[in-house]
Amino acid sequence: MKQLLIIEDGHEYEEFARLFLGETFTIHAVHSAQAALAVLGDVAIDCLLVDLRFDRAIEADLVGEVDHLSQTLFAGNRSQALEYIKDNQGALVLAELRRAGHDQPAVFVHDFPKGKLANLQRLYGRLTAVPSFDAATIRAALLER
Amino acid sequence: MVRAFSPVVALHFILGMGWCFSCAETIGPPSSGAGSSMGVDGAAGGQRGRRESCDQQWQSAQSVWQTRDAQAFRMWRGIEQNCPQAATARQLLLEADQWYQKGLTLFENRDAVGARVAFERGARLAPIEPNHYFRLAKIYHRHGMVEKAGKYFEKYLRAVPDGDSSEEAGAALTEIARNSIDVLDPDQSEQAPPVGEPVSTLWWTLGAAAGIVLAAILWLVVRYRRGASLTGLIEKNATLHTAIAYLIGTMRHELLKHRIGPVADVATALSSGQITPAQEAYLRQKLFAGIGIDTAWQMHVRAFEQALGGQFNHRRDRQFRAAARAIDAVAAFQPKLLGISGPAVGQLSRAHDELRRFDRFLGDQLSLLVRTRIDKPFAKQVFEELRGEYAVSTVALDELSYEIGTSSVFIEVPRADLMVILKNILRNAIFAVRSNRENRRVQMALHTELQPTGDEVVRLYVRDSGLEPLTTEAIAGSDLNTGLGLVMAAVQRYNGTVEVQSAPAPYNKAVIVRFFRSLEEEEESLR
Repeated sequence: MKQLLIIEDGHEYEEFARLFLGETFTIHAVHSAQAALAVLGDVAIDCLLVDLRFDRAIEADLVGEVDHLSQTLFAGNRSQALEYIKDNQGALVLAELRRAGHDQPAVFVHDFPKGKLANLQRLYGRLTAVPSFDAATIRAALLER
Repeated sequence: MVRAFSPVVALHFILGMGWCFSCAETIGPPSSGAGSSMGVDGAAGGQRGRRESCDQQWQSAQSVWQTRDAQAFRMWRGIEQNCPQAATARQLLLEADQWYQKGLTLFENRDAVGARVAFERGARLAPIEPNHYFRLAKIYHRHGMVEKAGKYFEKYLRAVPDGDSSEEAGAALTEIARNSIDVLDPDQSEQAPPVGEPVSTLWWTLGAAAGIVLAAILWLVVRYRRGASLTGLIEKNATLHTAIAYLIGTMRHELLKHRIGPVADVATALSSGQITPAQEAYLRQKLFAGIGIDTAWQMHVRAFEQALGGQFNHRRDRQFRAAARAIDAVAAFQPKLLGISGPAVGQLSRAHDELRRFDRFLGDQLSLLVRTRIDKPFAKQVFEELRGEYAVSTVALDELSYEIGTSSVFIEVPRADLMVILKNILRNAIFAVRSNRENRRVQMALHTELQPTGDEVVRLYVRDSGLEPLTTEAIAGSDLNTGLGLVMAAVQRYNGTVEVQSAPAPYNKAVIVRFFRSLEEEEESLR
């Protein structure tokens, strides 16, 4: 059976996957990039299902330098920088995984603007996005069919 | 959770009259660190006791906040200093307060939509400082919303009975109450005009019936003919674009993605005949738990109509009518999800397809709303309009140029607003070089930069050789009556930033405006 790693700030993706993707995949779920890297070190993961927004994560668990970003992108506004990092955390987590050499196909459940999706694919290789929680489409995307 | 949106009503909800954000879930108590595995010796026991007390304080502060009790702020502030959560709480309160203050300022300027967004952001972080209730009450009062004003004066007085403004709040409340009683004052009714000659009961009945019929016809005409479709409204009223974008975004995320999305899974599971009880429970929960899906739809539609001041009428919009029928079809399955098959499953699939079409329609509208193409023709127009101004035309310049590549970028700022932003910065730069004896140069340049999030940052540099000092702080503090104050307000409205940096020779400084590039397909925005 294929090994699926879910990275999210809550449990919604995991609950959905256990109910609808459980026949195809063994499910592993984590809530941070660090935890994801630990699982990827131990298990031969085949694909990744990544949440984009990490509203509920605490700052210490997030990938991204809030202070640096607040200076370079948000004219010193730390709240805006933190919000931006939370809103895009999934992409930043994926960047960390790719940097560590993990190039499994990654799927986001998000309706990205086409240009942004193209940029993400250019940056992180095997990546697709599905607009809603449609199990058949997500399964096909994870298996790259 | 479905977030219905009416700027004014929503402000009221956010600030403690029943709005339930996921904020209490999002900012959970910080981890108390690795738990000690030591035995129960005195020091460890004391340490653990303190940690438990801290956890308890933090948890009760959060619980009170969840109930939207005005005391939540004090509880957050009151967490003992030696608790690790105290610093977190203060930091969040500080960050949230910036949003609340911004919301109040926006609301003061009658930007209820912007205010609502700012308050939402604040409410995602921490409770509101109770003194703000007083300011909010005064704004409501100034806007003529007396009932709301009364509620917030009352809320302020309950939270800060001995505050600096308590006396003023009490007086305002008394005044509001007195005016309210005047309406029901029995003396008033005595002043009603005298009844004339008695008219027969039959005439009265006929007259009343005719009146009711006329009123019903009028009501139906107004109900169906007032306002415009969404597309029509977008075309004719650019000032509503920001609000419409927010409403569309909320409807797509809360309703169409999270609640309608699973309908496809319901149909697939039912048609395969292999739905498990756990799957059925999950799907039923997604589709029907809490607010019914049809009620949720109605709340979103009402939010559109209320927030857009009645200018939008969903009955005049073909896409909304079709989506409403599809929602009704989905809602009809509520009593019986298990056991349906054949044509019923087909009906569910068709409803899902219809709602996916509606989602794409909304997505297309969103991409068209607030976009401007920055390219050479745009820059040319800005410079020509500027040169046409008398004050600018009197300044002799060595250079007034723009550096924009052949490719164009779109940003999510309406063209008129972007013109205002750039013309004010350029005008300021031209006046800054006016006192130079030589080297009077102004240049505008465009740069983009890819971020690890997949976003692209667009930076517009306006460089000048003026020797007058200018700082980011000076722009941020500029009065709204000045050009740079206008720039600051307009840039912030579209989630951008402005800053000042030194610039390489022959220039002296650069004002840099930053926006995010709009990454929708470019041809979509060419209407």
